Amino acid sequence: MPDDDPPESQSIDDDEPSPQPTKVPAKSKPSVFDSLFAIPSPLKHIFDRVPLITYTANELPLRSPRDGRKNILHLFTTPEDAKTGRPSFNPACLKWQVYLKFTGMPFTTVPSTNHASPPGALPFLQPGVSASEPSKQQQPVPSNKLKRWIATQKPGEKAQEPPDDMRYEAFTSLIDHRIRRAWQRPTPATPLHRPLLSNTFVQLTIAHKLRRAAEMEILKSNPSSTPSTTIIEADIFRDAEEALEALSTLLEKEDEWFFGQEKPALFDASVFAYTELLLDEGVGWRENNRLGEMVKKHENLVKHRERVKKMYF
Amino acid sequence: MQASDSSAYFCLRLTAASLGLHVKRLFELSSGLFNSMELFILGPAFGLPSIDAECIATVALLQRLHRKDWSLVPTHDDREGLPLLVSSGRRICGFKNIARHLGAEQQEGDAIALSSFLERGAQTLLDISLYVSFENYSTTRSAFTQILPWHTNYILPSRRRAVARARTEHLGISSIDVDNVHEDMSGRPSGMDGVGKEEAFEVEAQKRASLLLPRKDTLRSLLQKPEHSAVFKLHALADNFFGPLQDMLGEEDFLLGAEMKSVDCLACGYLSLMLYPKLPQDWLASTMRRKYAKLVAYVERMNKKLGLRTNPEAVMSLAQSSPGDESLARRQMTLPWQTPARSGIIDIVAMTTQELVSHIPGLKPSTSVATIRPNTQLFWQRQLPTVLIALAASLGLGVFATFRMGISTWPRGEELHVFGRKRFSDYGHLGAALAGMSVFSQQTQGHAGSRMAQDDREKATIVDVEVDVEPTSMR
Repeated sequence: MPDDDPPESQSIDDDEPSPQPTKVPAKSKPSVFDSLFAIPSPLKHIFDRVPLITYTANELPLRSPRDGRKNILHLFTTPEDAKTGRPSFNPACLKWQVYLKFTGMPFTTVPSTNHASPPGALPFLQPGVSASEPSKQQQPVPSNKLKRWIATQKPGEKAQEPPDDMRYEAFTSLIDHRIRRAWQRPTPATPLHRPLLSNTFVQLTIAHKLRRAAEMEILKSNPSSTPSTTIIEADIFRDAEEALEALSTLLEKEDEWFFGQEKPALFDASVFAYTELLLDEGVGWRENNRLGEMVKKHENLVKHRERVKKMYF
Repeated sequence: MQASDSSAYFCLRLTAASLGLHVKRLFELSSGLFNSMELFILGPAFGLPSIDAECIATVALLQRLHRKDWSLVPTHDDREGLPLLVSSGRRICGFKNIARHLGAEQQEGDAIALSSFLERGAQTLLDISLYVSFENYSTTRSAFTQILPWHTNYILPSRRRAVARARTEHLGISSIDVDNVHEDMSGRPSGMDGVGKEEAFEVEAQKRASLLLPRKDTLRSLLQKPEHSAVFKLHALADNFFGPLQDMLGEEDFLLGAEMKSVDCLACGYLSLMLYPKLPQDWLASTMRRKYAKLVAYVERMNKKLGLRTNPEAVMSLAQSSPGDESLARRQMTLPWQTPARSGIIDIVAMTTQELVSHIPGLKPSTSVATIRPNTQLFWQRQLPTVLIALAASLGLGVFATFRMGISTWPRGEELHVFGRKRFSDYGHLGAALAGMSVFSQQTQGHAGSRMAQDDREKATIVDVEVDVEPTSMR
C-alpha cells in the first residue's frame, strides 16, 4: 500500500499543484479505504492521457436562431414563409401571429410541428433572453397564456382589455364554434399539405389520418340532436353562413375594427385568421372553397382583411 | 323439418313486419297531409318535458308559436336524431332546422351569436353535470329507466355518456369522474393509477409522517389536489357561461329585449336542465341559485309562461291507461302528449345487434358524411341497397338453377393438363390393368366414354415420349 502513494501524489503534483496543500492534512491519516479504491498506477497513466484530442465545438445548425434576444413564435408554416414572415396556413397560429403584430412585439417566426411543442400544440412563443437579466431561464409561452405574457412585457402600456361589450363572448363563440367547424370540414381535402410530402403512399396515409382527426373533431362538437356518427354538411355550412352574416352586420355598425376599437384587437385577429386563408389565392384552393365564396359575399369582411394585410404584412 | 318450418315462419314474420312498416310510413304520410305535426322527443324527466335540452327547447318553441295542430310523442329511437318533427311528409330534426321550417322570425346577428354561445357553453356544462360525474350519472340513469323500454336502457344512456365524456375530455376534469376509481378497485393490481388507492395510502403515510414532520396542509397544497382543482375549473366554466348570459339579460324580461324570441326557447331548454334536476353533486344549480338569481327568475318565468312543467309518470302511464282515463289524464296536461312510441320485436333485435356489432373492434361504424339531409332522400334511394342485394342474390340463384337443371352447361375447353402427374400407365403392369378396368367400366357406359378413354391413353403415351426425350437432349 505505501508504494501506491508516491505516484498518486506525484500525479496530482503534475496536473494541478494548487489542491495539494489542502490535501496534505487529509493525507496525514491515510485510511485503508483510500488506498483500496485508489486507481492502480499503470491504469492511472493511461487515464492521464485521455482525452487524446479535444475537438472544437460543433457549430450551431444553420436553421437555429442566431439571436437569443429575439422572441420566436413557433408555428405551422413553410421555411420560405418563415423567413419573409408571411401568414401561417393554420388559423390558430395565424391568429396569434397577427395579434403579436397588432401589439407591436418584435418576433420572428419558425416552422415547427406539434411534436416540437412543450404544451403539445402550436403556436407557442419562446421568449428571447431579456437584456436586464440574461441568466434567467425563459419558459415557452403556450397560446392560451400569450395574452397575459404580452401584458407583462409592456407594463407601461394599458393592457388591451376585451371591449366592454356583453356580446363579446357570444360573438367569439361564433368564430370558435361555427366557423371553425366549417373550416375543419374541407381541410383534409385541400392540397395544403401536399407539397410538404413527396411520397404518394405517405401522402395518402397522412391525408387519411388528417381526415379522420378532423372528422373526430367535428363529431365532438356535433349538437346532440344529430346521430353520433353522422356529419351533416349542409347544416355545418348553413351555420357558418349565418355566422359570417352576423359578423358582417356587427362590423357594419362600427367603422374600422370590431366593437368600435381604435386599434385592431384579438377579435380582429381571430376573424382575420380565417378570412385571410379563405380569400388567399396562393393557398391552393381548387374548387371546393365553399366557405371562401361565402366570405366574398360580405364586402366589409373582405375589406377588413385587406386593411389588416396592408398594415401588417 | 321443424327447423325449416320455424325459419320459414321467421321469414314470413319479417316480410309481414316490413310490410307493416311501409303501411305505417304510408299512414304517416297521409296523416301528414291533414296538416298535423308530430314532434318526437326523448321522454320527460326531472319534471321537464324531456331529458334532452334541444328537445325541451323545441317544445318551448312550439308552445311559443301557439300552434294548435301538433302532438308530442316520447320516443327512444334516435337513429335520425331527436327532436324530430314530422310535418306533411317531411322529417326535420334539430332545433335550428325546426325553427327555420316553422318560420320563426328571421335571425339577426345577435341572436345567431347567442345561440352559438349557448350551444357551445351549455352543452359542456350539461355533459359534465348530468353524464360525466359518476354520482350524478346514477340519477340521470334512473331518470332514463323511467322513460325507456328495457332494451334501450342498456344502450342509450351509456352511449350518451360516452359522447359526453369525449366532448369534455380536453378539459381534464376526469377527477370528478369517480367511475374510474370504482373500476380500479375491482381487482386490478396495486400500483396502477387510481385516486382512491393513493388516498388510502396517503392517509396511512400522513399519520406517521405527521409525527415526524410538523408540516400541515398549506393552502397551496390543498388547492393543488386534483379534486379541488377540478372544482375550481368547474366553477370557472360555469361563471364563464352564466356571466355573459346574465349581462345580456340585464334588466329585461328576455335575452334580446322585452319580446320572447326563439333564442329564448333554446336558452330555456338548456338552463332548465341545469336548474331543475336534483342531483347529488349540484354545483351547477347551486352556483346558478347563489350568484345568478336573475337567470333563475328568467328560467322560472319562461317555464311558467310556456307551461313546460311535466309529470313524467303521468305521461308514461298514458300507454297503459284505457281510452277513457287517457283523455281525462290528458286534459290535465299543458302539453299535447300522445302515447309513447312502442317498438316492435324487429326494432329491438335490430337495435341490439347494431349496438353489439359497433362494440366489436375493427367493426366500428365509420363516420358517415351526409352532404344532404338523409330524410330528403327519395324512396328508391333509401331502398337501393336492399334492391341491389336482392337482385344479386336472385341472379346467383338463377345461374345456379340453370346449371343444375341442365338448361345450360359448364363451358368445357381443353382438358386440364397437370405436368408431372402420374397416370395409370406409369405404374407398369398393375397400372395398365387398373387402366383397363377403368376403360372397361367406361365402355359399359357407352361409346362416347370409350372414345374418351382412348384419347386418354393416346395422350398418356405422348407425355411418356416427352419425358424420355428431354434427358437425351440435355446430354
